[in-house]
Amino acid sequence: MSRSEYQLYNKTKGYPTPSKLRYRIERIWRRAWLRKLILRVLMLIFFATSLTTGLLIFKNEFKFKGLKSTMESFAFERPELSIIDLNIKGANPDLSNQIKAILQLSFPINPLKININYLQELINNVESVDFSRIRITKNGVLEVVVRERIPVALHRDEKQLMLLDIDGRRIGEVFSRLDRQDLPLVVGSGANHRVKESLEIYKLASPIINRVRGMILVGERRWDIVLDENLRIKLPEKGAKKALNGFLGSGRVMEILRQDFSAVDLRYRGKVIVRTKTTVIREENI
Amino acid sequence: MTIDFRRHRESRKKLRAAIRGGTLGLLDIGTSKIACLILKFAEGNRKSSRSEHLQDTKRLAYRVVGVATKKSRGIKSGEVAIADEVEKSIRSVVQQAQKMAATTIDNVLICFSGGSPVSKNLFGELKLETPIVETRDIGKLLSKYNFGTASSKREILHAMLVNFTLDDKTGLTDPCGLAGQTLGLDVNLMTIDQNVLDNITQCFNRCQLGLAGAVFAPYASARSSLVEDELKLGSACVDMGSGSTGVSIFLNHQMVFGSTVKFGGEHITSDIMQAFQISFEEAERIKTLHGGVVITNLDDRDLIELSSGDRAEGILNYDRPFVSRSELISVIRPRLEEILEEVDSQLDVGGFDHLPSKRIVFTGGGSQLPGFYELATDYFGSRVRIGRPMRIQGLPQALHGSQFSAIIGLAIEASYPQDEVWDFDMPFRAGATERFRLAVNWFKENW
Repeated sequence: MSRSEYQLYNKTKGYPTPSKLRYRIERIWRRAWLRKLILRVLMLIFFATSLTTGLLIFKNEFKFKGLKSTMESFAFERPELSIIDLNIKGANPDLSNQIKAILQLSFPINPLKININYLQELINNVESVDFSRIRITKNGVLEVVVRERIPVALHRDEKQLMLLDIDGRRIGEVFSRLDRQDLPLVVGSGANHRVKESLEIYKLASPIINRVRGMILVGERRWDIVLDENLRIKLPEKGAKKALNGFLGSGRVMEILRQDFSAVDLRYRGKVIVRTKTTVIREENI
Repeated sequence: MTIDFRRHRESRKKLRAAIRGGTLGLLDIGTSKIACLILKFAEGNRKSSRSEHLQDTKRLAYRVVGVATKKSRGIKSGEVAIADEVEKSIRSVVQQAQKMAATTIDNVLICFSGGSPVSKNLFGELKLETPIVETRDIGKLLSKYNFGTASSKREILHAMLVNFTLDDKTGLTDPCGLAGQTLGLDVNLMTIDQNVLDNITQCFNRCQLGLAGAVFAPYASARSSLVEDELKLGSACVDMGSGSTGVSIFLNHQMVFGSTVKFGGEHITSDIMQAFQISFEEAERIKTLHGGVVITNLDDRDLIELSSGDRAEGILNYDRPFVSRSELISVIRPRLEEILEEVDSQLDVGGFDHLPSKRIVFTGGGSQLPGFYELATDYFGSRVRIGRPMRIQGLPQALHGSQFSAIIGLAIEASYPQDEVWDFDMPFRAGATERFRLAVNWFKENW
């Protein structure tokens, strides 16, 4: 093998060399800043194209649901954020059922979707609720603290029998007097505004309480205590308690009440005027 | 004819820029192998390289981060023979080194030994205007030299400031700040054939690499193989390359003579190839594994098996399967002797006999032949040493062999470059016509 032959051999059988293009690309690729730039641009293009294709593909769904609600549901409808239960404190079972019915909440619910002020207003509008407080506890429970109004008297209208609290507000309807025999009964228009006074009179009348059937406000001015056997104790417009106290303090109360009178009139100071039934009949007859 | 050293100055600029940038590539373009190192310069040193003159810079801290060696292609006795092939081998070796270093290189410092270099000494004198020598006096003195006629039809590779004389004092390395009347300067001008450097530059440009300087390979290997005393007291470094053998003579830390002998290890291999009618690869293999210089009695019976050459597909069908070692040595030795003879004659040309210490350091791949030391001492006496390159940081152990002394010398040269003529500003001296011509040229170039 001659030298020229060897050179030919050497030329054809050389080691592989990188092509010019590959050499240049590799040189560019080894420059860190250029590599980062290229990678970032490619990444940007990739994300942009994938976002646009995604939008194009799911365009109809977005239209139907609305992008906003989709995003909201994505962001907020999470078990860790939602309210899972309702806890009502300080209310009897009837009232809590009533509150539940009013609120009309179905759990779990997103806290951003409920308006607590509105809920509170709803609850406060319930007649038997004095006031309420609403908060969301840590473990996702909507807690409603309620103070109930306490019924202290029954009030008979033309038709209805209403429960009243101490301020005279109506709490609810009772269908029969027998349902709430523990509460005193007041009758007459305007009687519901004077519940406190009537209760005080009731309290004074405790010695004869087993005979008391109720109280009637006459002409929105003064009270009549109605006892059994249709006996009325007519109280004055002013100083009613004092008059009743004086009457009950006198030793002849039982004696008077035992007799068959139709009314005991205490309206005149220092005097007790009684009316017999016959007289009444007679007078009525006139 | 005036020479403005524009190309050399641009190379210097690139070298400075590369050091500032942190990475520099080194390439040794040999006849048989091409090697590439990538140096990473330490952060703190980059600032110091900002000063205008390279001689101001201190020795820079660096580290080898990328290494690659390949068989070179298209190179014949240190010169570009097939440009395309050379480009390919540069590409592959640079890519491999870049891969290891994980960076890119833009500028490379290269060394080669081709172009039949000729070393020439120039001397000039200048009457000083000021009592103290300043840096610009050196430039003024250098502008008096006629580099153009000294290098007609040739190209300047090195122009080193070898020796300063001030009045009757000689052997000065830096005359700045000294008092005197006449400043003299020896310049060692090393020229190579025209177009040799152009061809190499072309190959590098096509690989997108800038040339940050070209160094004479024997000079580079001397910088890595010679020790301090040898550099100071005068010694020769003989780089036994594969395509050519380089000779450089150093005195006072300066190269005073450089030359090449156009014989090398490749010629030994080619002799073996012809003597035994075997392939070049096989010849190279038995030379490196079994070659020697001194025959002993045992060598007659030491038979070297030739590989069957199955790669060659019938072309290489050996008549004989064995070669005795003594036969091999008897082929190698005459060629080595011839090389040493040539080296001796070159040393005579370089005035080696006048040096204070006449030490010869052999380096390069050829010096690794077993028994070479004995042959060299037969020739040159006991002043001979087989040199190995000094260690540089980060270089793998495998690359500390003497065949890599040139590229290690390049690393040293890059970190601590020697002053050359073009590192000084030469005041421009020109007549009226010359000035006019330059002005016209400037307009032509810029419009």
